[in-house]
Amino acid sequence: MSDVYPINDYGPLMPGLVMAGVAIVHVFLAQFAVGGGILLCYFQWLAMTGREPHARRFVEGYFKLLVLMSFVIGALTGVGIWFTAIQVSPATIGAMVDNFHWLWATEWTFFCLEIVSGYCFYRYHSRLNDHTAMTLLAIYAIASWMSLFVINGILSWQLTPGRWLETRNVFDGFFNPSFWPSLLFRTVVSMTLSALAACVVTNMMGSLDREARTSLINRAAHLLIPMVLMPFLGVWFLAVMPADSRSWVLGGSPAMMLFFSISIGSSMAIGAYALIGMVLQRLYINGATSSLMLMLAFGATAGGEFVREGSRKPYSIRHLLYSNSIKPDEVALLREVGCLGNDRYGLRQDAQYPNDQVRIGAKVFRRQCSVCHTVHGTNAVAELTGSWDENQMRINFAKLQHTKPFMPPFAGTAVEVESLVQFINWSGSMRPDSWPASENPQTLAQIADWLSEAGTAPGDFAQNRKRTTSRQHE
Amino acid sequence: MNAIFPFGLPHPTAVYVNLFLLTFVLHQTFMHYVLAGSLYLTWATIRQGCTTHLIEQPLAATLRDWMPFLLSAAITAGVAPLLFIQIVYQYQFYTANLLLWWRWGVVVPVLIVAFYLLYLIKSRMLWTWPYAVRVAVVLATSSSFVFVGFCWTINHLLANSEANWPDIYTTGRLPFSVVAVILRMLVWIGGSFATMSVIVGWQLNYRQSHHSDSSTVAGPRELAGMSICGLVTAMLAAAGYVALSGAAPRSLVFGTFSLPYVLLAISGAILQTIGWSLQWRSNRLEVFGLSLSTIGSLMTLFGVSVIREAIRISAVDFAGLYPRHTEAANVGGFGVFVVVAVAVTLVIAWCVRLVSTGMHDVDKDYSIPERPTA
Repeated sequence: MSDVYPINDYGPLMPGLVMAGVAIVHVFLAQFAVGGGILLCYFQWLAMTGREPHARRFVEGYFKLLVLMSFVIGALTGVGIWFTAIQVSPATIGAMVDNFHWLWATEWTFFCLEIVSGYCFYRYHSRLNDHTAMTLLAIYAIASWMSLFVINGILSWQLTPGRWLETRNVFDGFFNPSFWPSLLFRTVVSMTLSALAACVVTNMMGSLDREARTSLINRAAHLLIPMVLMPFLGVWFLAVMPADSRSWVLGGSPAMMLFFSISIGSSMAIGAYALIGMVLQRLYINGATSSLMLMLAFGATAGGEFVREGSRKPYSIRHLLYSNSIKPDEVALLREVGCLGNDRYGLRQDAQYPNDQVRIGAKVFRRQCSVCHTVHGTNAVAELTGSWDENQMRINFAKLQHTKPFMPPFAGTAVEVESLVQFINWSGSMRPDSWPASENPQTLAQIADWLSEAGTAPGDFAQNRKRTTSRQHE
Repeated sequence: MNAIFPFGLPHPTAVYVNLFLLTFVLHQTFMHYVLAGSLYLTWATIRQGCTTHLIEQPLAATLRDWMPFLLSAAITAGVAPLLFIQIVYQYQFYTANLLLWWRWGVVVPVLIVAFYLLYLIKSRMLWTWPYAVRVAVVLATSSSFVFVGFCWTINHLLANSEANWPDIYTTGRLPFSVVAVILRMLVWIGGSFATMSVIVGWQLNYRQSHHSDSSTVAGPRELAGMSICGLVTAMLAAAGYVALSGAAPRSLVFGTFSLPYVLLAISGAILQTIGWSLQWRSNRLEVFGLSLSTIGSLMTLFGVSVIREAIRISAVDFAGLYPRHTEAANVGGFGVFVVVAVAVTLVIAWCVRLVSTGMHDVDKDYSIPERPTA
């Protein structure tokens, strides 16, 4: 059986939200750094060829922002993601490290190159000749894009492990079905973010007149043109997604569909403004508007990342690990021996629980539910199950993967299902001091039957369609 | 553990532990510069009262100038040991992280704040502010780095205390002796002054050889004093810590497994002392003395790191981790890593060369150039 780690209670926040918060900030800044490298090469070239008179001054100002934002918060939130991922799902990050550590180490070498070339430019740019400055910026741009290239392979493997599931070959996992659409999409997003940040930076260059600023902004807008590819890349990504994941995004899960829509809506608003206003009509964009556009881009990034993370459900690594860190091939065994056998951690404030059955329920909740649910808070089980009677709770938990196909199968015994029911009911009843234990053998036998009917395989999202088809045949 | 480290270990374990150690030494080198540098600046700022004289001396000025980059280098270099520790001691490391919980989570925001404070310290603006503000800023900065070091120390100790994990989880109390924690901290803080002195020594030596004005040259005796005091503190604290440790770690540290590394660390300290003594006598930063100190510093850092691992290995079921290491070694990608690492190292060297050959003395011309005609 897998190792059981201590699990922390985040109160009203579900751990996934904490992870999302850190990840979104990091992804935003990291993509800004990648796009920034490409943008700076472009402006350095404009400066060297005399095409843009103020490009040199812009390059220096922009790079300072890049160093202060990306090299500090970007780099440290990268470390923060690792720490947060360990907090949220040590089994997931452990599996990723186990399988891709050499590629992660490869990414680290590019990260080192990014930092060295970036600081060489930052520290000495005022004394470098143009050719050297361009070379350093090109090295920086290539290193940061390669860093994206590597990490993209590891992250996209979580959703679409592809042939890796059969071959266990690291490169089959790395160059998985969603690798290319994801990489190209992220590259376009990076260029977009860098161009929008350029508009903000240009407006902060108080020594330039309006005409000069307009000229720089119009140059930066050239990096927004690839946004026309976004719909095609998005459709490509959707096409290679597993069918069930795609169904959550396209209506199966209201939250995911909502975030998906926010992401598309924000991107379309930015794209339309950028292409019509900035590229075609060559309009000036002031500091307030460009900041607003950047914030909109942050919203689009946040929506996109939420969808990317959420669409993996019920897995955190498809077919390898459920989101509650239980492996699919462990479920059958846990149905026999229970999920608490190797959990050596007691409950904090143990005395508050009225009986041992509720204690077991609290531990089952901690092990199987707490990564995505709270008791009373975000995605709270007490509220989600508030209108169910006890039998409804029992059957829905026992047949969890069929209740909602983006939930993993319940990985425990009938006694543990009943304990979980009692724990949630006790929590939903304002946690009274005493609570009767439910020990009816017939109830347990009924739960065992439901567990058996549910099976140990993940839910089939298309079973409703299959039922309809079979009825038509009848 | 009857053979000298790493010979008694299975091949995959030896590879991962060595990669962890080598990258950890690289991380320590940069981290020591920032830790000791910020502590020195705190002392220099407080000591100097209302004037800014000392803070403008070459040593302080160099530290102020370079610390942001060195912190960036420390964070970047720190990613690699953070990766390899997840292979070597995954279960222990993750559990320690989880048990520390929010106390571990604050490390990142504290480092972000400290990073920006380093940029503030680098700026001229801070030094025009009132004395109390200056002291508050440098004190906040150095305290942040000491706090981060403290968190890592606790994380390390926690990872080695498997028997106490269930209790720590339910009660939240950490069962560590304050003396042991302080001694461990003193090993790192004392040692950091020795490493920092070597790096700053080279920087000032470069400055010395490129400036004819003798006022730009820092006193090598100050660096020598800091290095030797740091080494003595670290060694006394290390001796105290090992004395406090149980019989099992002591037998591993002074047994065949790591005794050569104890000798390596001590030899390195002696070599550093000789290097600095030579420079103390001549009152000049010299290539020969600095080279001796550099070699000695690397010997000490690697030796101490191996001793640290020996103590950890004695605290966990290390043989039980071998199958994990073997399994990890079976995944592909090592070849890609080696090829890219070599290529990137060459490109990094090229970047440094580009900068040293591609500079001109005049500042950039901001005048508007003529657009080339067709």
